[in-house]
Amino acid sequence: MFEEFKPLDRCQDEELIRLFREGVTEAFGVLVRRYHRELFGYLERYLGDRAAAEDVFQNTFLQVYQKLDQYQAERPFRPWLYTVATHQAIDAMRRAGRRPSVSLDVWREQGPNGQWVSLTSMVQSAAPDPSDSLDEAERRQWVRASVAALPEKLRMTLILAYYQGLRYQEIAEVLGIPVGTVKSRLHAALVRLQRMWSNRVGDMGGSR
Amino acid sequence: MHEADLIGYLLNLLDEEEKHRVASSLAQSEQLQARLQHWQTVVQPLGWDREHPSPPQDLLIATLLRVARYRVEQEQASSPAGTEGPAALPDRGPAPTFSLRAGLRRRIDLVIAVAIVLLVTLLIPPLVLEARQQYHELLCRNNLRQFHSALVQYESRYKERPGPEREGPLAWAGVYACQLREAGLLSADVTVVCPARPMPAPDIPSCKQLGTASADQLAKWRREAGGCYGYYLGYMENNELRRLSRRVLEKCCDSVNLGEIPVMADRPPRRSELPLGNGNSPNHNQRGQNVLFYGGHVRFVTSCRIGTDHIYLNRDGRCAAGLSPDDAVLAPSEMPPLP
Repeated sequence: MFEEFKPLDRCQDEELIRLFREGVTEAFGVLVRRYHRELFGYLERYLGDRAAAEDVFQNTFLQVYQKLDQYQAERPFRPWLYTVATHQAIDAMRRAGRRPSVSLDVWREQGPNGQWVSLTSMVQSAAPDPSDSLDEAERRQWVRASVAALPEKLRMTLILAYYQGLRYQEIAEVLGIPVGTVKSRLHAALVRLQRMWSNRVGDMGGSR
Repeated sequence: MHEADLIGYLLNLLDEEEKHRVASSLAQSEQLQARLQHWQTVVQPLGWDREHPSPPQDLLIATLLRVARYRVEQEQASSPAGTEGPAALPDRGPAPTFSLRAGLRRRIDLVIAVAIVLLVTLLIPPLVLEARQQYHELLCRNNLRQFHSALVQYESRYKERPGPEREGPLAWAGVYACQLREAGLLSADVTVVCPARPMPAPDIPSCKQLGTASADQLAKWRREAGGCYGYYLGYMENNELRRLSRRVLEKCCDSVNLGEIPVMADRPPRRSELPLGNGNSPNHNQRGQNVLFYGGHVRFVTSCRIGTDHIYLNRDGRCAAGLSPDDAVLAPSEMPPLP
């Protein structure tokens, strides 16, 4: 019997990998397209730099292409992809000789009077209740700056859990640490954010 | 129950078994429900930045082009000497149903072809042209990044960026290439020729040669040595022509975001080309230009205005030195700073 025809767009990631290994070359393009928004978002949040995120994204898929032989077919593709991307991002930061939180002072925003202000000062000045004075874009920047101010390990765990939607077990695989450590890092990240945002966060009108 | 389990339940991070366990505990305990509510409140502001940042438009194609370039390089490295082009694609699994041999001899064509094979589900004619254009833009951006390394090394050695003098044989925009060459900073990886506008690589003289050249020879070098790129002409301060220098600018210009000053770009259109176009560089068919900024990032911009600054003209509307450091003017090779 012939295998039932199924458009590539509807194939699971693991099926696409199998098809690519069997010579269906365009399956690779489908994977890149499927993940390009999600993974780019992860890298930009983590690196805090759009150009670096673009470069690391491309390197990630080049690595995926080069390392497909090492990929174990019975394991889910998504955590493996995040593992490759995370290693690439860490390497890129080491090469650039910086920690991502440094970029807080690099990202500059035009203040209300036209002056340039760093996001660090935004976090400091906006607390405790940004909902009083900030519009939607400013709130977004304020949250991004708060997350960027977290220590690297806590920040990465928070991004993978909250923004990327990976489960505890998957995050542990991506970061190569025990699940218990993932849990304690996420807890610590939220406690720190809570401190930054103060107890009045509960009064804010969220859009979620 | 540990707080992390409640957080995991709230954010859907648990496996099915853990989720059921937490759900049944929650159903029996108001105290646990209150703690869950607490974490909901903590997490809520994160939702203001929930949406993923949009990727660049060309990310998909640029990624496939990078993979394709690797694929072609690997294939060429493993081919016997004297043969060109990959025999079959891909290397994993059987050969595809068509061959790339016919007519696809040039490497760029091969790279584009492989990228299209990787993305054949979108195989429509405009994509071929788009892939070619984006590949050229990508090569051009990489080239400008190489220039950035050379410019940074030059500045760390001479405490300022290269640039034209006010008058004399070094008073033209393209002299930066001569200065970099003389400093031994123009490696084989860097070219003043934009990949989108193939032409023979020009002769780049040393500054010493410029000083002793005949008028005809000097005119030829002025026209050609800067290649396809426009370069920062300098800015006027107290009637003096200044070059960019981090040391000086950081001391005197708090308001200038130094990293965002354009320093080099695809060259502007010449006068004879202007009436036909939109002011964008001719290098990429006037769709826009790659711009290298002082901070080292390179962006493809579709207008010759970045914010309020026209990158090819100063605030007086002239192709001449800027009126302040951030009034960048990126001029074609032959242009003097004070015409």
